[in-house]
Amino acid sequence: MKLPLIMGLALRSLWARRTTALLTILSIATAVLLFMAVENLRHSARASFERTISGTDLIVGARSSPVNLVLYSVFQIGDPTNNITWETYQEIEARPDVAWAIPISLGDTHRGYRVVGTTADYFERYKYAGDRDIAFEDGQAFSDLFDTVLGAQVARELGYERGTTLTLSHGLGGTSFVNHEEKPFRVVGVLASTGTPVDRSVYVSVAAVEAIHMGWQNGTPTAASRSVSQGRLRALDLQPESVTALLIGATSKIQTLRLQRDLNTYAQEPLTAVIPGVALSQLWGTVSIVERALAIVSGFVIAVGLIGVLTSILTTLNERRREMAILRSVGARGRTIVGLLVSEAALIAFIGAVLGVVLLYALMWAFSPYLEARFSLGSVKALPGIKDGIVIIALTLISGALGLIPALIALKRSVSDGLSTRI
Amino acid sequence: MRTETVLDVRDVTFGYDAAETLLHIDELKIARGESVFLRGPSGSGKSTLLGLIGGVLPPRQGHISICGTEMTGLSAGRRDQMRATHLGIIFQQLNLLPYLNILQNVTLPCRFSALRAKRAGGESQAIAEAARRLIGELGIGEDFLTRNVGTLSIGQQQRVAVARALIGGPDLIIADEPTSALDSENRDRFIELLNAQRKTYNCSLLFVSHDLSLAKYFDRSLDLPQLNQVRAS
Repeated sequence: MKLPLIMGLALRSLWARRTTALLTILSIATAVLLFMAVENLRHSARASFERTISGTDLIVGARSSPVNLVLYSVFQIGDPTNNITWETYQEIEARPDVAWAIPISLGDTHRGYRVVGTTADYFERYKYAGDRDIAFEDGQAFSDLFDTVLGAQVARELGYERGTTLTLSHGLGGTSFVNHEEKPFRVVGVLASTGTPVDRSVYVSVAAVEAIHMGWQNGTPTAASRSVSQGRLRALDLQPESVTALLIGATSKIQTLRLQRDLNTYAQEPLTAVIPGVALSQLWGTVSIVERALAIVSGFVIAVGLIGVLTSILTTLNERRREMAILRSVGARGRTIVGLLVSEAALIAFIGAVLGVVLLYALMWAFSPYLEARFSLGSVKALPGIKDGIVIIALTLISGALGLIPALIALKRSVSDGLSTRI
Repeated sequence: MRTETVLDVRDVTFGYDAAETLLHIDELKIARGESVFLRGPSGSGKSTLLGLIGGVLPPRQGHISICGTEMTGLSAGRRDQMRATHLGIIFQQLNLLPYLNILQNVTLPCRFSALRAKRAGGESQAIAEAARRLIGELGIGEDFLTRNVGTLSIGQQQRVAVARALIGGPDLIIADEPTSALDSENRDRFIELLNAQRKTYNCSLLFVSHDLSLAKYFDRSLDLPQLNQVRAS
């Protein structure tokens, strides 16, 4: 088959019908853009999800489902069911098979961002994306009772920096009617961006959490609690009565399962101990239903685009009977007619797919800072890869195969029309 | 060596299904250099006959040979090749592909037949030169060569179609009502031009029309309804 001749004819024929061809190309480009964007975001979301926490062997909280525990302790989503007593924390920390235990105390927010009460060790022990440590972009961990450290996104979006003072609000909801206005905090450190929920957290010491709730009764402030000055609070021994969760590092990885079993059957109070990786997998299993639904929808979008190519060629077949007759009259073989229409279908898909990929990367280039800041999707691809090439080739081949339908119809008609040019 | 009989149709029958015979031609011969007028009103089987001669339609029985090569035993691909090499075809109107310019339209047969390309000069430059010469001889200026088909009048388009039919020296030109869209003055000029050119290139001509008044321009005249034994009976 004379491929250059057929491709040349196909290109010129498409150019002659450029308005409809362009619309079909745009529909394919949009379908590819949507499909690839969903695929890319899906993988980015998964990568972002998987890199959220590492280096921690167990997360321990009050008895609840493992997924719920991971959601509120790591992802800052949902509410804890109960607290763990400080005595339990101390007992667990003292176990020989526990290398370190970091308390987490939740219950307050600042302008919608959750406040995490913890210890300075948190910044040493918490790892993400394999073995990456949390780094300070500016300042250091808290040392004073009313010091606070901000996640990168909090600082960026609220325009805070070291030295800024802020107050916390009681409760985990987006809106609070009870503020700790009389006990402001001073920003002493801003963390580098991690692409994890750490970026969206405000860190204070567990003692500070105890301090701002000093004198409260039944979850509400009293006149006495408001009158306690920050100076007086600094002088007190502020050991909390309870914490929300614990991050635990085991002395031996082999002992982790036994430690988990011990904590899950803890006699003093009902606890749930989860291995982060296992819980993350369970959580992703739940979330991935949406992921799969998105993949199916984007697959259908591609199918609709391909049907559009087929329709656009089929609808022009009747008006192109003369063109086919002329080609046959100058010696075009049946396979040339088939090749011409298959090439047109493949060309439309190829150009559309390439345009879709180019648009995708242009949009990702433009929006990746926003996606990273807003959704922690730090791993959105910056450059086209082999997978994009495979999608383009696959789509071109499928479209070419679909082009066989109008091609065979045209061939049949060209035989029945013979060498007469009917319109 | 070129044979003297360019087209030989003998005892050919055709029907789209076995139950019905649409065409039965006992004999139709065209000698080299001869011009034949075939009167064929609508519904007389004209398109079917052209399809059979062109090798697009296979006959149910009988023999069709072009330049001594029996077409009926050939594969569809070989019949296409025979058509590309030995035939030049001119339609009623709108003969040209709208997405190719004039030069590309004229040289198109040489893209499908190596023999015609060779006869036209072989190299693409020589083929283009042959096309220029033909178009010039047919009275179309060289400045038209790279123009769009749409910029030509119907008469000019028909002349370009003649150039396309003649390029590479085919043995037989089939003209299917090529003057039906022309006024009488342009029609007469077109036929005279076509006859002059085919004589220059020593091509035979099968001119099909329903207009019997045109028969005077040709060496011989045939009547398809009489030629077709199905209709005749």
